[in-house]
Amino acid sequence: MSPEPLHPTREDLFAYRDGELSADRRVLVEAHVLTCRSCRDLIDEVSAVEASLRASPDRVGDAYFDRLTESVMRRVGSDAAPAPIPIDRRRSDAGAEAEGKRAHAPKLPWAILLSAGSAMAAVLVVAVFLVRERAVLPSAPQPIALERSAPDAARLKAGAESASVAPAKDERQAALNRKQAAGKKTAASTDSKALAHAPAEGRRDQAALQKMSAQQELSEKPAPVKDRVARAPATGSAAGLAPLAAAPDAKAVGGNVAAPSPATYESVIHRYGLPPVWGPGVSDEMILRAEPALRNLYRVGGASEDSARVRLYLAEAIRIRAGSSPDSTAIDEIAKHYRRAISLARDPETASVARSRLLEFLREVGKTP
Amino acid sequence: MTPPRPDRADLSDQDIVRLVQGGESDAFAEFVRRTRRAAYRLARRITRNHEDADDVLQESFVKAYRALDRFDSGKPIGPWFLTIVARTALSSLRRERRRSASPLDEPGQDGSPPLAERIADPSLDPGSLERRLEIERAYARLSEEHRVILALRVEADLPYAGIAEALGIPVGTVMSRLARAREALVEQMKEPGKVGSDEP
Repeated sequence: MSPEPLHPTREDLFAYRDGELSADRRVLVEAHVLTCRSCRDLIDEVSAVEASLRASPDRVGDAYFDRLTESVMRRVGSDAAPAPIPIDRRRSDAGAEAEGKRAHAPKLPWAILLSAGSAMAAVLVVAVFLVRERAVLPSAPQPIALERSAPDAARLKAGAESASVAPAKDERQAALNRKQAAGKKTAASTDSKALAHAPAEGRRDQAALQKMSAQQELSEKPAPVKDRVARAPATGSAAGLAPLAAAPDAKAVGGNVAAPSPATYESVIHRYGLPPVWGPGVSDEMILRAEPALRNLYRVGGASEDSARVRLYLAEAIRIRAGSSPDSTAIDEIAKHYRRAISLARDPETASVARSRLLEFLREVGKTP
Repeated sequence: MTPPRPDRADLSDQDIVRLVQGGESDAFAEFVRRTRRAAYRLARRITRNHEDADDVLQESFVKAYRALDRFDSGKPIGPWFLTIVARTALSSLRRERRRSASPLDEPGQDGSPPLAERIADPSLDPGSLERRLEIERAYARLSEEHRVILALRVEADLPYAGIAEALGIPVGTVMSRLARAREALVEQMKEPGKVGSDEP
């Protein structure tokens, strides 16, 4: 009877998959993986699960990102521009190009790697290594350490620093001249062209994911999901809609799955009898009753344009709960919500109420601005 | 809002950085546009709610803007910025933990919308959606430590050295923690309810 294969550690196995092993260890781990189905399956399983996580929707749409950009630029606009740095500190783009290659590293090419010749050579290498090291590993499903995957090896090189130095000239002007006529792309397209290193959904693990999805489709029962989706709250107005459903980049409804209709700010304040903007006449009891629903909007980003009003109500709710002597955490929290309400406000009334409440609160707790 | 400048859309990341370093602060809008989705996904994975993720992004972009003059424009800026986002999100998480012990983005907890509502992609067939739900639930059941390191690897695609820098731990610890997190995730898929263990 043939002995159980000796597995690499999980650390090495996953580091191999991530392209994080040194060249010598990588050879050893790869030699094992090529001949060990259980290790390959584990790598493929993890790859598929992570691809699914990576492919989950953004949950917010372009409108949010545009507001974010606007808000950030307002804030940095009030800052002094960073001090210009000497030209000799600047370097070439080689590093970024290498980084780009890394981001597009393909999935492990098991089929190719599994060629008979490679496998034979691999077995020999491992055998020699194990004999030399006198390594004895017990049970089969306890891998030792492998190395980074072959396709990820390119990623290792990505970190190599470029030795070249940009020429000492007015790079700013040069860059503008060089690109002046070229750009016609929209903001949306620049999003998809994220920085070289930014993750691209469904990239290297796509094949494994597809394989897994096919298996899932054969074995899973769709009914529970449909039931859950069907029971999803339908409190939002048809136009209000949910961060997911209303997101400009959300995909159209298809198949048998209905688009969910989460609560909106409007539906929440209507349900709890609150005015659109907090005012002195609103009772504490009403605010506390509505707080969980408002917090839900806060959590899922469902407040959208009404985010400032939600913040204002949340500040009031925490204030009520904290009583007359809030601790430092509560003070920070309350002030944070008021400040964000001010900066996010889309209407003068909300901004004005939030500002006066913040000032009043800070005076109350002895932190007069 | 700041109108996108077409002449900047095709500039390399390095060119954008140099423009900002050279005093053209409006070029920073292009940087924001290029990084905001990846940054949001990372922040959301760590903070587990939209508004905190939003706060993290605001803070991170301002920090990045202020630190750009010290950034070496020859290096890729993506990992550098995502490390700022990760650190800021972790600080936010610590603050959140101090003020509330309740989970944030747990599926269906505390009256929050069901997970299906939050991750539903109408284009998915029910089988694929169910699979995605299972994975998201399994991820949500992981310990915070495991969730964070997986977010840094999966959403930010940071190399081990970058993760080590973001978390302030040695690369060897990144290797072992990430391996345990992945094992725990796979385990959760097979045995829902079993809690993955943290560092020994």
